[in-house]
Amino acid sequence: MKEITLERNLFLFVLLVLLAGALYLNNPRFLSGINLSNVLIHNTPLALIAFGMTFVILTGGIDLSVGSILGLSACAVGMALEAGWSVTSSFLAGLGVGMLCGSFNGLLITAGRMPPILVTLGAMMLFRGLAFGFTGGEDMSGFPAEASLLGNSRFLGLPWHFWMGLAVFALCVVLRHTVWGRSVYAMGGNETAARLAGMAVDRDKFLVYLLIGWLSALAALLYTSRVGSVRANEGEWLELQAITCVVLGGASIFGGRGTLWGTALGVALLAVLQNGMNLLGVVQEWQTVATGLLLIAVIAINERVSWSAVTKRLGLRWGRRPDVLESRER
Amino acid sequence: MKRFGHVLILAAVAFTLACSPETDTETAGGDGPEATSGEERVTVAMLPKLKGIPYFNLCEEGARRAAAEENVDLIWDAPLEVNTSKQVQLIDDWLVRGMDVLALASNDPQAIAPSIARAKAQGVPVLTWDTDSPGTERDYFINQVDGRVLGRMMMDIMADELGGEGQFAIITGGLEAENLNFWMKYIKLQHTEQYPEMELVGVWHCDSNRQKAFDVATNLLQSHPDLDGIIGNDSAAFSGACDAVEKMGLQDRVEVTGLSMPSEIRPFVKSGVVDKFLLWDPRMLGYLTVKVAANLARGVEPEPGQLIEGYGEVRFDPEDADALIMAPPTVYTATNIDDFDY
Repeated sequence: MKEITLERNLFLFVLLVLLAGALYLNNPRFLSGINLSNVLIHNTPLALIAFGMTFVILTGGIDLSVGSILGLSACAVGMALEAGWSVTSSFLAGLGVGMLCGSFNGLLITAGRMPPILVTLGAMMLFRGLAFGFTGGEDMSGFPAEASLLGNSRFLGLPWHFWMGLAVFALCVVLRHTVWGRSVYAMGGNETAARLAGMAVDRDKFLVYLLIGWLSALAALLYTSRVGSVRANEGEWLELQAITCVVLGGASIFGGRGTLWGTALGVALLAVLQNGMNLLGVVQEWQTVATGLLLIAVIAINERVSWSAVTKRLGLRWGRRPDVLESRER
Repeated sequence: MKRFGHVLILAAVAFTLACSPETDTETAGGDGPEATSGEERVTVAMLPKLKGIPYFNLCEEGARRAAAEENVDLIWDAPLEVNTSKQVQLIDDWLVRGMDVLALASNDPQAIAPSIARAKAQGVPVLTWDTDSPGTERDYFINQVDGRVLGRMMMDIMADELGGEGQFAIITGGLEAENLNFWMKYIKLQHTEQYPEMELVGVWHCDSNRQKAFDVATNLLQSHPDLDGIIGNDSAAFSGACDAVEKMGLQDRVEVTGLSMPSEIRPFVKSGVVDKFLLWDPRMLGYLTVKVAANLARGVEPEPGQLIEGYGEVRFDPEDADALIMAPPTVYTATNIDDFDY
């Protein structure tokens, strides 16, 4: 299992390097500090949500409401700031709203025994509607200067986005190796078996949705602080982008299989692709098309290629007994 | 199966590599002096509020025409929905890509200010068009219409059609829209200054929603049987009011005018609901913006009275020394409406 994941990730990595190389040859400024930090800043919110989405998808679930949670949290922050709250309490309020939204989903899915796709589909509209309802669809901006510190300043020469993304990634890697993390994999593989094995499936699943709610709110803080403007439609389509990254990263949409490293590579691939297309002058409509094609192509490759056979033929053999591993995979 | 996988990998690699030569010509355009008109080729990046709506499509049409005339590489792109952070991202990426002038229509002046500042820091002149971003470092604003003239003209048309007396009402898009309120202020000023015999029965709003405007206008016509005219202050308000008058069969009794695209109002002109209405030409807005941008890229600042080929004389806003104002809006009537293909 591990070896196959490694090979998949290597394939993504090679694709990323090829893409980056082509972009560099075309415009050397692609690798300039300013561009790399742009890519980082613009995609960290997506990365945070994609890390959370990895856990959700590992459990065999899905969360379609993350973009709306981001929008609602951002509006909460904006409204709190406009009401004269301090920056710290406004940010905490935003995080609180995100965790409330996550708990709402988690409760309906676990205690309510409702399918995640339906719960979060409803929640997607519910939270987005609330965001529009509370703000009347108007832009909010003109926040105090301290509110933009997080999104616009650096620590040790790198934007806060980088440190935040790194911290969340590290946290997720740690979580994945806890009892909770193993439970997430187990319930995605076979929920009944996990229950029979005495795992607290409901509690652990609830925590997954709480985690992604919190991460969506964290992403909202980065957005709000960076742009200094809030609108109820913030984060639209982000849920689909996050799912794209997770699946690009080799996770099974049916649960039980996937890694955070893969997701990180998926985010990087999508981020570089979008930045590259902006640099190349590919307009938004075709960017959407290209992103869709990339996803389908990568999945087609992942599903059809026998990685063990490819590496064997290339003489790269790090997978022990590839044939056995592959048959287990199927 | 395996072979299929290999083909896909090759295709992916080929796609990646294929991206490079195709765009070499496009991005290098900024410095390549292979000019056709003898002038250096320049790159202008133009950012509308969003893509895919008829209004901005027309702006793009005009912008492309000017770009072809002025030897300009035009980058025209925007998010597919109203979204400030995506606008910011696009500007950041364009600044890496390189451009000579940035022309943008922002959804949020305050939020776009840092992006404008970053462009200026890189030595890129910044124009705003369609919607200004006041209080930023932008160089010039290309204003599509003088709101004072527009408001007064709407009132003049209404008064002319009613013979200077009678009752009229205003339906506006939204009560908080700054530009609509500015135009309405001048409708009312012209009313009190020039047509004291006429009576304004009230102002209603429709959230820029045509269906709602229809409901509002229907109620209005039922509750005010003596009403002689309706001014629709935005395209939804105007066309909704036209719908209502037509459905109630009042076209011979009630006059309707306002602002909208000819394509939207043409049927009502044909059916006799509307005699005259107004709008600026969105294509001219795109055209003028690119012309001014091309000049700026070549070091020519706009100034009052400057002659721009294909447009005419540059005029400035008397109250804002950095704002250009486009020529007075076009008046559309039954006789000229078929001359416009938008």
